[in-house]
Amino acid sequence: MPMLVSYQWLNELVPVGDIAPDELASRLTMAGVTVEKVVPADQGVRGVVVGEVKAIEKHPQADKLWVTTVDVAAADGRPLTIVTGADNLTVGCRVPVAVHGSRLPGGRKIERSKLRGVASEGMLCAWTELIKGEGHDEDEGILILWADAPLGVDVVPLLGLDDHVLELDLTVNYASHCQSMLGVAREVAAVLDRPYQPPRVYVNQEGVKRAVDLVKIEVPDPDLCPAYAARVVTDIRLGPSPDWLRRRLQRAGIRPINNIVDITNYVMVEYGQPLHAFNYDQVADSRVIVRRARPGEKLVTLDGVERELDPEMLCITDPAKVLGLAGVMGGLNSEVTGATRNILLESAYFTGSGIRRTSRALGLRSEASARFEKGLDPNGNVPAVDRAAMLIEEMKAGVVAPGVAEFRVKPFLPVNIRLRPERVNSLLGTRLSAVDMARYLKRLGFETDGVADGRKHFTVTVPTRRPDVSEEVDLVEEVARLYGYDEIATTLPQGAMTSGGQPVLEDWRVSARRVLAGAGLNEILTDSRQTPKAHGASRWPAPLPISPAEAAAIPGGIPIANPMTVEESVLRSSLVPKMLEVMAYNTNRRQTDIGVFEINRVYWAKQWPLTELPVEPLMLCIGAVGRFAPKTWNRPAEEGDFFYLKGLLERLADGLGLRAPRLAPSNLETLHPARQAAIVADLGGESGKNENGGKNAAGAPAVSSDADMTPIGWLGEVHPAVAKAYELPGRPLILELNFERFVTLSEPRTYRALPPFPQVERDLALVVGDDVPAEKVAEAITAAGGKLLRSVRLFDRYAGAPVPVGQVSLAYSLVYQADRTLTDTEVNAAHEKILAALEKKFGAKLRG
Amino acid sequence: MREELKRLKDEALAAIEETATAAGLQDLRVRYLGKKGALTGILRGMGTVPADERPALGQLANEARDAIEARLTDRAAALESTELDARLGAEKVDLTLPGTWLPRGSEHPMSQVTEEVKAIFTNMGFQVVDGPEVETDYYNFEALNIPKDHPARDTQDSFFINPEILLRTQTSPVQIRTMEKMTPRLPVRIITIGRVYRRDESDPTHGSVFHQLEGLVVDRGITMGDLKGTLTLMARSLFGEGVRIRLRPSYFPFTEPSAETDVSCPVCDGAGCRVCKGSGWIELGGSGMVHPRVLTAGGYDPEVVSGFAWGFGIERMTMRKYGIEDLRHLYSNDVRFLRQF
Repeated sequence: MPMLVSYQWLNELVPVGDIAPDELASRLTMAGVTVEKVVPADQGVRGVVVGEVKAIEKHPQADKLWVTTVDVAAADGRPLTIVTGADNLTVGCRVPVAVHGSRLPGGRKIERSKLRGVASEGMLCAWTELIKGEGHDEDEGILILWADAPLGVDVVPLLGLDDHVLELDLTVNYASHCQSMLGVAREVAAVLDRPYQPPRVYVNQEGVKRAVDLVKIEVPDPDLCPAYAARVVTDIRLGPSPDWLRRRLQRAGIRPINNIVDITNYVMVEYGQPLHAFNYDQVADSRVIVRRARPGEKLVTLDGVERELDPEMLCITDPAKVLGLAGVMGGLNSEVTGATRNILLESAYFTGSGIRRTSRALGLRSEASARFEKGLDPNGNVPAVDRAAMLIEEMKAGVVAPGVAEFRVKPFLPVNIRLRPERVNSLLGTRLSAVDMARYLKRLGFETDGVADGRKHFTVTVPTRRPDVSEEVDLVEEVARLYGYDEIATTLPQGAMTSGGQPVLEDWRVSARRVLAGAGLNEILTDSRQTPKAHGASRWPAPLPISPAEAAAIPGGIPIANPMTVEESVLRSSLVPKMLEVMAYNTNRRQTDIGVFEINRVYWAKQWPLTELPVEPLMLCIGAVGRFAPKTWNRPAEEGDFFYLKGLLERLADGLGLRAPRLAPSNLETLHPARQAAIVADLGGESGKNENGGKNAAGAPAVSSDADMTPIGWLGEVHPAVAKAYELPGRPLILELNFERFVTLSEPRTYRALPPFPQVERDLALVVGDDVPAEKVAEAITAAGGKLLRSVRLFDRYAGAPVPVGQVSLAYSLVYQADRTLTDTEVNAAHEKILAALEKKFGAKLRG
Repeated sequence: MREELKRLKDEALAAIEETATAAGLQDLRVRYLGKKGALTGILRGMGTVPADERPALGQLANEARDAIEARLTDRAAALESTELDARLGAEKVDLTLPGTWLPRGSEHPMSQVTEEVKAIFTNMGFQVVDGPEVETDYYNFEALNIPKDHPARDTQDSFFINPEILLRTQTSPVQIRTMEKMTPRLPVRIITIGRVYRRDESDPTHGSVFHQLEGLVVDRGITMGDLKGTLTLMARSLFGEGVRIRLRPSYFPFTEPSAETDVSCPVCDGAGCRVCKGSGWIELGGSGMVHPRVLTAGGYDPEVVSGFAWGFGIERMTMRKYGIEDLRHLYSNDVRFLRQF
């Protein structure tokens, strides 16, 4: 509920007439009272004037229409003919007339027209046609103006519509004292350094019996109700409020009802203090008891709903029953109706947290509860109820009994704060004098004592209406905003030099991103929350650092207790489910050739239920489907397959300067049973650890036995069943690895001098059984090649005639190199040795 | 013999000029200069010449040989060049055909802006630090001067795992975690960038998850002017030299004084345009002087040191930089979107 401030009303409390509403709005915003927007109260109404109905005749062709003759004091003296459907007109009444060329709210233009054959030169207006949303009924008919409304005059100023409404967007700290016209006026006075002119309040109190004799206030729960005041008003006369008051309520966004309700609402808007009127004659024993509800107690609130109360809720009761929910809503049993003769006007200070709890528990919010929640001035309740009493007297709505029946747990005194001018200047970077500071604070209505230049501090007395100002630093802000944040000079921090930088892992992440983008992949960014079903659908394993039983309790990831939607209800343990969704999203949009990656956190509970924070390891995920190179005029298309994915992994490792990761057999349900592998690494004894990252494994031997290998991820072709579940076409590929572990394979890049002697290149084409892994052959070549062999590269693989069935031809390119020029004899010897070893190990034959 | 030599030379030079092929030139070389060639033939007759004429004749013969030789070389070079021209001419291609396709991927626009921001601050001597997204109530609220029942908790409605553990609603918990690690060392100059979660309905400018850039400086004598200066430097690096920073008083429990931070619209320079929705200013987020209670929670004495902090949305900066109108595009992961960056 934003605070709506009428510019005209404000102008009565502090002179602002010479400052245009927009200018005022920006000055306030720059002082911390944010004005969200300024809305003209006339809503764009132009050219609507006062007219007098001179004649009313039945429309010749339509039963429900009337043809009126209306005098608008036109220059040519000619009255207008206007057709209307309203039934509430009488000859001689004065009404708003939208003449030809005038405009109604929202820019609606009125022009001459014909209605069922009769020319109509404009429109007679109902209130709802002139102003939208100011709480009038649609069927009220044409707005009848007062008899002496001057003919031909613009109705906008006449109806008080020449006003503007400032819509405030209040921060938590200003919410309490700016939630009222007087509070805003005080702010405006302080900001503009102008006089604040609150209304003078005087109550005649013509009643016979004193309030304290008419009602007894008891507060057994003062922790929730530190102060309570009540006045009694007898001989109530319910009726409509005067126009000015109705108009002000409407500007504030409140619908007028009757004089008593309107007065309580008016004072709430003016003073910020919610009031409640009870039917006094319904208060048993004339005793008002403010206490916590008893278990099982019930109350039918004003909206007709029966509410079950609990002992955390504060109630207004009498010895026999509950009368209302304190600060939230009254009870139906004590409602003020046409038959009510006497009322009790409550003006209380309830603690904000108590009201918030009640309003939350019942799902019930009101203008009153919203104000209590923000915190009120504990001394504000008596002035407010006095103001209401004064208005009741002015409007002759009842007879006010003398005095106020009051409870106050203790006196609420203003706070004294010591302010050190030096402290203000050192925090702001200003050079204000103590006198300057005191001047700003006085504008806010704060008192100061002991102000003198040269003194180390002075005392500031902060009134109780500013509960947000409780310590020195709060005063610093008050000084700063009145001085103007804009006035503070721009400087840079002095002090010791520091070298900037980022965590090593972040460096790795930046490099990995660059390598993968360079390889043609697009980086994606997905939500860390997903549906609980997502993980199961992906069938990806979750290598969680918790027991299987704990994992089984949270199969989809760490559940959020209060999610907004089921799609965002668990924290993921893997990037794979979202990756599959992203691929499906794109292929569904006919983007069938995609390669994407994400490097992001996942969330692994260390136990369940959580007693400590989960680990949040950084994972890297690649997804690809379709062609990674399109067919072009000079190149064929290239389809992504397992080896493309493996190539990306190798490129990544190489690009980051990591030892090449090894692949090992795996059996993930997510992946094609024959085209998948675990990415394994020797983590140098850290393999059992579950902490983030693990220590650097640099220095571990380059070749490790498979037994030392820990899986750090998996890759492969997506299983057709999983692909189908995600409606993914083709042969999608996926890879996920633990990035923090992956980068521990880092090896410092070292320089080797370029060899001064020529290298010798020899090819070796073999035929071996097709069940021999190519990698093993390469390893055997390396082992047999000895010192002279520098590199081995497979450059061809061929199966089919003339190679016998069950066998495959592998062709390697070998490079020999030494610290001298190699002779043919030496190279031949090495080559022969390799061939012999391969023959012995795999039964390999030279391809003829 | 003199005449014979001259005739031979003239004849050879003329023949060279008329020859159009390398093979033809080779024939001429053999015919005139070869062992059985014409010049050799003439020189064989030298024996019949009187001895005193021999040196002059010999010189004449050498001159003829050199001239023919030189002409042969020149001609050969000329022919080669012509041949090359002809061959290259025949290798004409359609220059308008597209270049050979090479892969080009992209880094997410959010990553690009994040890197840009990190570079600005690391160059200013800031250390990038990190903190958990799943946080305790203490770090996310209590230590940041937001006790239970504080109204500010309403404005940051949170996702809870359990009553004490939640998804962080701001990156500010990293302030406390960093100060705890650093105290009593000075200065503290850090930024952190990461995800935060709030129970906000998703719309073109809000989501229930977004990324924040948080900064914290703590040292002796840090002022609000320093805050303005630091953010001005950042804004100018990001948006251009001409922009200005504007602070508007606001409220955050963990700063005092607090401010909303605006940057003058880099497009219209404050005059008001479509990009800034007519206001002339673009909101970056919150900032302010670190609240004494927050410094205390981090292990520093607010009577000795002071500090400033800020928290801006990376999404908003990214949208601004690229003119993206709807925040949800950033998370759509549509490759047609991603390939534009």
